[in-house]
Amino acid sequence: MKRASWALRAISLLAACAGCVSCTFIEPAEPPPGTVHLTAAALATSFPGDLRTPPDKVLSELPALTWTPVTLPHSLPRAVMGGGSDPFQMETMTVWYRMQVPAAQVTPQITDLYLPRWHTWGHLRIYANRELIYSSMEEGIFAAFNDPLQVRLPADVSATRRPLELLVRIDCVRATGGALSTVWIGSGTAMRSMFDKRRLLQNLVPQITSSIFLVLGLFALGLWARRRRETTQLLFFVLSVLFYVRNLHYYIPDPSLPEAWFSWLQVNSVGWLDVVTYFFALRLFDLRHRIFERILLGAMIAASIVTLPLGLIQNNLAVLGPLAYLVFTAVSLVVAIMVTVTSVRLRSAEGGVLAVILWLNLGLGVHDWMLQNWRTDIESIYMLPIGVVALFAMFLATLVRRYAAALSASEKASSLLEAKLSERERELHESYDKLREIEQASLLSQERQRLMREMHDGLGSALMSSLVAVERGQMASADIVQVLRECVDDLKLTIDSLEPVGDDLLILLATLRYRLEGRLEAAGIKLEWNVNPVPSLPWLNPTLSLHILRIVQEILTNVLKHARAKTIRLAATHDDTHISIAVEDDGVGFDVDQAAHSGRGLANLRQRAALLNALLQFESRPGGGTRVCLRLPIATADCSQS
Amino acid sequence: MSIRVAVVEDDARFRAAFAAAIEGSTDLSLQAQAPTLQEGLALLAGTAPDVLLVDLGLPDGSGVDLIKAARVAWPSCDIMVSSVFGDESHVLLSIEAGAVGYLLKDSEPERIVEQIRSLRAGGSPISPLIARQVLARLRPPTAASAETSLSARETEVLNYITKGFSYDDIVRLLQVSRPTVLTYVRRIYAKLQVNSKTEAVYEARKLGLTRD
Repeated sequence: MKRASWALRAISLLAACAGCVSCTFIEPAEPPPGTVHLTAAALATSFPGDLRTPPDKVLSELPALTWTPVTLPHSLPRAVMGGGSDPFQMETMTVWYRMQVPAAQVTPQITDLYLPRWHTWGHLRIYANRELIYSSMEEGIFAAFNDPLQVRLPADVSATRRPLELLVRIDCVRATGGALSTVWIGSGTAMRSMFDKRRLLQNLVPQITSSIFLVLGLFALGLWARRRRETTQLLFFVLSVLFYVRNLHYYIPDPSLPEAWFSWLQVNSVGWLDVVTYFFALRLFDLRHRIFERILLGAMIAASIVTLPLGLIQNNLAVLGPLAYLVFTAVSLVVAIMVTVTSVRLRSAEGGVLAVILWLNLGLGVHDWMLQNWRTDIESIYMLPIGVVALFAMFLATLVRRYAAALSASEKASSLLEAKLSERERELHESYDKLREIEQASLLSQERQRLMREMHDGLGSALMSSLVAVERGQMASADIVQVLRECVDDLKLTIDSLEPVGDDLLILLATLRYRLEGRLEAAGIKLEWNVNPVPSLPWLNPTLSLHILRIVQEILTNVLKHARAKTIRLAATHDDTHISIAVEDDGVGFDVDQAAHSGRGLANLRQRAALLNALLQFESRPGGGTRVCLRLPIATADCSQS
Repeated sequence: MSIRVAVVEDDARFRAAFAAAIEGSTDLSLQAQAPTLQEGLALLAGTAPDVLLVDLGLPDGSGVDLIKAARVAWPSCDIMVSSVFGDESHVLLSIEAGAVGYLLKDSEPERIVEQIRSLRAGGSPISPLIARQVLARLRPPTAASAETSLSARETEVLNYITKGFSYDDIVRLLQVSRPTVLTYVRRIYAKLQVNSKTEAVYEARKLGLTRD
């Protein structure tokens, strides 16, 4: 990735240099045989010029003029004067250039004329032997500064082998002046070759590059729309638009937009390019100079508003332009210095490359400014459109690098997250396992304690007391059977309570029935089973299960022992808060009040019921059967554990 | 023709109680007795009884091994486990080995005889806790084939058992005959055995003990 971006930068720099060098090779230093390079002319001027009258096809006679010799390329000084924005209201002039080609040089190969550049705000016409061969007015071109020209000479020029007289007439606004490059005549292919090279460098390169960058800019805009925090993407888009607007005038000599507005766009886009470049550079360094940024932004907005062609400033921008460019060059200089200083301070390689490119572009900008103002060879080429390519490549490389870095960072982050997550998961598993172990251990110990208690208080003490009684010979055989039977019953209950029943009360009752069925049958008692589905009891644990089993078993064995019943009806029902287990028999019944005071049996049952937070109701009267109802709460039961 | 019973039981008192109960009935006869696993296995060489009563806790090994061997040697014999408590884990183990019922050792003589008779007629009653276990094991999602998964009716029967309903109650609730209910019960026992066999094969295959 890094290598790729460096390569991109190197290529862009190389391209810029190549562009710079190539311009000197468009036209050969020495004209080849059959080609004539005209570098001398006679100059004449007259006032005012004429921007309206269509050109004469044939010049029958020249007005009386004073001719002075000049060398080509030649430029006319700009007259500093007011005059609004309408060129037809401004002072104009007519300029004549006359060139003579001796008959000896007018060979048959000479068929075409090639003009590398002409620059004016007005019209240009060319006459060969007084015959009109080109008129910019007829071509519909008004302002020209960057277009090469190739024109076919009349057929009889070379045929007659006479000296050739070339006349170039320029009618222009005095305030803008004009310039004319050297003139070439020669074969069509030789002229075409030179013309094409210039066309490529002066017009097509800006057009192609700005179009490509506009597309890339749109892509960046799309990225920014998705991720608004990436302002560099937005800046890149703005930059591409500005570059596109700025480059328009290099290949559209006569836009459909009003001239004033077009010029406004051209001039201001340069300033904005400066400002946006500065903003971009700051983001490159992850720096913010909020105050300076605001000043710059404010100044540029103000400049753009002031220069709007709405009459705020009287002078036309074509006149004001060079001055504006001077100001922008100064801004570029400040930006270049800041970027350079910051790069050095932060030791940023990227910043260094940007600084180099900015200085290079500053140099090219100065060159272009000089070219525009005819302070250098006017046959030179506008270099900024080519130099800005390097700047763009640099920005693009930065964006690509950042994008890739963000991607790999997010990849890294997600894999890191994954690792962390699995680590956390493992820890969770471990702690869960540990917790389960602890829980299991505590359950085990609880269960052990419970069994110890059961054996100690129930089975153990019953067996022990019986043993003592049997040893003393105080127990009848039938009583021994009774005690042992009860012990076995209790043991069975305890074993049943060890089975995990979940929260199912009915299975407890079912198990009890299964245990007692044989004995009831043997006693000739019919058991009617009227259980309905009941809600589950979340609180049902082995201890509480055993309580319930014992209560119900006690109720049933009481019936077996005392009631002399024929039928027992067991019903399980429920309401919103309680489950009721009702045991009803048709036996002899008893006096509840009396039994409550005398016997220990009922008190025991009540005590157990209290442990379940349950209600135990007895309804009985002598001779009328008995009904015992155990009401268990559904939600919370356990007061023994709290 | 009387029901011939063989008893393998190490406790002499229980053995005597069983023998007394069987001899005391009119339609049962005691064919053989054995106090150890080895002697029990030796019985398998002889004529098959109708019912084999096995104690799980034999002094020289587990009664489960005897049940497994008897299943092969005496396929027509109904095997019954005698157990002190009839607790779930012991009983399930024996059923899976091939037993079709169990007898509580503290049962009164009439009860013993009656349980042997009902075993012969259909199958031992299934206790609610065991019914619940069977439901959990043989529910369709876990068992693939019809051979090992419960039918809707069998499930219904087991559900009633877990709620404490007797076979007579179930006969009334499902409006079927008593023999039909007993058939269901018999099938449930059979499925449990098949299921335990397939599970054993599966386990063995997992351990690489058998080849397909």
